[in-house]
Amino acid sequence: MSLLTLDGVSLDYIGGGRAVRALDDVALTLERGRILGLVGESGSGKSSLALAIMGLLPPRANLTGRLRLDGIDLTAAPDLRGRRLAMVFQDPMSALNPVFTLGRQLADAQRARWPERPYRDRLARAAAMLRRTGIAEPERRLESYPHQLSGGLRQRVLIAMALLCEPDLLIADEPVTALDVTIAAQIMALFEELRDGLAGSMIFVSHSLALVSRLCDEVAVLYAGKLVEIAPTAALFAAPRHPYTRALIACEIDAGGGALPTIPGTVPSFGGPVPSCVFAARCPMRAESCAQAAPRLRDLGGGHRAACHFA
Amino acid sequence: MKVLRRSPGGSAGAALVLSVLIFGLLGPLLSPYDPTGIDVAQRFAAPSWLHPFGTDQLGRDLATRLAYATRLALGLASGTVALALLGGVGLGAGTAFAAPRLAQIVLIGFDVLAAFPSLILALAIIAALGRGIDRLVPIIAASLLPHFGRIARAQALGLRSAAFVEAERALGASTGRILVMHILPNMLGPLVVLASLDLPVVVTLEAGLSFLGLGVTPPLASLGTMLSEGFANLIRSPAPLLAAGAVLVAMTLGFSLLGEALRDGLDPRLRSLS
Amino acid sequence: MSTLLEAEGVTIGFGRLIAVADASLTVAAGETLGLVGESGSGKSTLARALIGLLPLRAGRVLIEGEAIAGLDRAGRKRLRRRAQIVLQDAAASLSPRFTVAALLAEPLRIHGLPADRLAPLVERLGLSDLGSRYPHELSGGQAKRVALARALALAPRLLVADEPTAGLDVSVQGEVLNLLADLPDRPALLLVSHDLSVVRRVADRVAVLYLGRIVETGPADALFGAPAHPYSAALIAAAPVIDPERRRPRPELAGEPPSPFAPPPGCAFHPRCPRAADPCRRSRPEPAPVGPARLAACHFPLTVSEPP
Repeated sequence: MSLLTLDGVSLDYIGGGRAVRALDDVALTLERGRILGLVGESGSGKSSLALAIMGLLPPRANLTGRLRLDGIDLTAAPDLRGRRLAMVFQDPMSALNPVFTLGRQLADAQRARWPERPYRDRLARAAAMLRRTGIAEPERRLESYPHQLSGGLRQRVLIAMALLCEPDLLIADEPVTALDVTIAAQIMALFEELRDGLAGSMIFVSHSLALVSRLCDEVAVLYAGKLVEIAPTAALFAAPRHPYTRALIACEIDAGGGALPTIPGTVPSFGGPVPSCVFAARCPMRAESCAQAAPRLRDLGGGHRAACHFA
Repeated sequence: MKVLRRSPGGSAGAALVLSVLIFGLLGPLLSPYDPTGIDVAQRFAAPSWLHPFGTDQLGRDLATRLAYATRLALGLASGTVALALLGGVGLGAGTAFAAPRLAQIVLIGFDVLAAFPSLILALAIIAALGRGIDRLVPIIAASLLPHFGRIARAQALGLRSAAFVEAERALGASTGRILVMHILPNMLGPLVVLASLDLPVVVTLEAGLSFLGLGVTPPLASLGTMLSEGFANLIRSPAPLLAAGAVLVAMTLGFSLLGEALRDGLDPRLRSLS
Repeated sequence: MSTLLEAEGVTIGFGRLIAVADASLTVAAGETLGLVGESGSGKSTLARALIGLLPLRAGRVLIEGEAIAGLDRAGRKRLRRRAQIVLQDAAASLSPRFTVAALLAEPLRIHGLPADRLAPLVERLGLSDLGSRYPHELSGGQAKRVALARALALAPRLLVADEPTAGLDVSVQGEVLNLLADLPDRPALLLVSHDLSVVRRVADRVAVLYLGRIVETGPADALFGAPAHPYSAALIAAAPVIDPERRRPRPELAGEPPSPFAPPPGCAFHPRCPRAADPCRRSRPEPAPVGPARLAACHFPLTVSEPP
């Protein structure tokens, strides 16, 4: 059985009498020990999907579809956070509680999984994990407060915190976006290092194709709430089948001359299920069929799937 | 922007305010009676078609007197608050851009004014300068000024470091232009709401002073004097006291509800957009 | 090419904090200079000071031969017509209660210039239909273009673009960059960015900053092809690139950037530098030539033909 199964997942945000469809009929599976990259721009729904899996959606969110972790129904609000599910967020500066020491917070994070374990043991485990995430003098660090650490160090602490409960699934939502380039490189190297010893799986959410290309085994591309393409990493970049994926890759800034390609127009927003292809308005290959029927995710072989009438 | 009266409290408040406004503005114009017209034969008349609220101890029509008193209260309150707003905003926003020493002096001035409970301050000034409406307005305005001034200053300071202010400065706009065209318009929203919440405070203050006999001079109709007269003659007839009290409550409650609805409407509006 | 801007020994400080120390550079008319560095490098601060928006604690800056310090009010206003800036958060840089039309007219009104300058700009930047909109109704790309139009309305000789692609989706970054590569009246462009791919694409020359000091300058292609300063090399190695085969070696610049309140002795980069040796701890290297039109402040620069 796959570790994570998503089927027909749709998400609407209700507010002021209107609904905004953030996710439309998303389906994917993730096997154990694999890293999935979730790529998309603003309005793609990637962060919403991460929050949906974690069960962290706000009350005005209406989630439908099946989400299962190891067979357990995630929509039934089972208490998996801090036990089998863990998340690393984008902004390391605000994710830690400023009034408690790191040791206290790291020990606290283990209580969901091991409520009986004594504090001292949990602190020891915390120190070991800090060392694993590349923090020097971890015992001393346990006594520090968050404000004494830089952004890069804090993110390491947060990664350690997430890993401490030995989750089956770790979700990282734009974990290096707020960091400087050289520090981000360090954290990405840390992820690459950790993956070998990783028992569980990981979902890496990012707007950066480059970051995802190095770290992830498979990549899923989201656009306006729809999963438009999913494939093993090498296959996706070697031969992208969806026009949006192709356009996105083409937009990466290289050293060449001439005008940079862009995708004209803006990301559309929908109020309900989408009857046509979400990308049709901006697609260079747009045809009649695109406006009439929403393309389904078709299997193109080798684990490569794309939602396009012409893939 | 202001049409956020979706809250029941706000609608009720708006309705009350509207009624009071109509009463105070049209009442004096439509009434056939002279508010000071004494008709002793008619004293303490019960409410009737001739006198909707009855008459007071001197036979004067209560409804008419109330209308005039309301008009007085409204005029006083708006004039006072307007004065305090102008002074407060001007000085407060000014301190955000002036030299630190100057700003300090102004702020100390605010603190001094704010240190006195407004009623006591008013009493002191009345004692020194005598009573009268023209004295009341600047006195109460002065006691309200620091309140607006502090808030205006905080707003201006916050806006001063806004990106669009930096952009305007980079384009070459003078400080004056930035203040008037870019900072003030973005401050006014919250301040207007505050003013609306302060109106009932002024009305109550005026009523209180007049109740003590230190406000307007009789035979001018004031809510406060009517309250005190009604109180004195309570045994003869409760109508004068009740009528004056009802109008005072309607006014303060109405403005408070409206002000609070506006204030709540301003903030979450930004949140509900996400 | 004539020199448009000349900066010598520029030092900028705020209280105890020295944000930029002893920076010297030149910008020729019509050229694009990239200012590259991470947070705390001082690149944004330097750019603002170079166009007169921040006071200098030491050093001097000349624009078209005229010093920008010590100008009177009229002089400062004139300077604003010659040097402009597009801020990083474009939407926030637009006054929220003004329509786009009013915002575009603003710079001309401030300087008493005729409004007919606007029409060709509006046309060129695709803003014709946006006149009645408010800033919060604009997309990221649209806001950037409005901000750019406002800066260009005064026909400046020097334009600073502060992180021009920040906050923009990949699919629209090209919009801004294509515009910057082809600006009307060809002003000199000071491009501040932490994104090396942006700078490499658009800039003619590059200056790399670390902890408030310029550590390397040179022509963009030469510098990116063969960096001389170890920090430049580390930056280039760390820049994310699509690499599914994992061909590039894992870049690893160890350590954290030092605090600007407590810069390390000698060369500020030495605690993290893979080539650090004794002289690096003892004395701070001055910028020295390492190739044609190239300077690097390093005791042991990478030779320009040597791989980093």
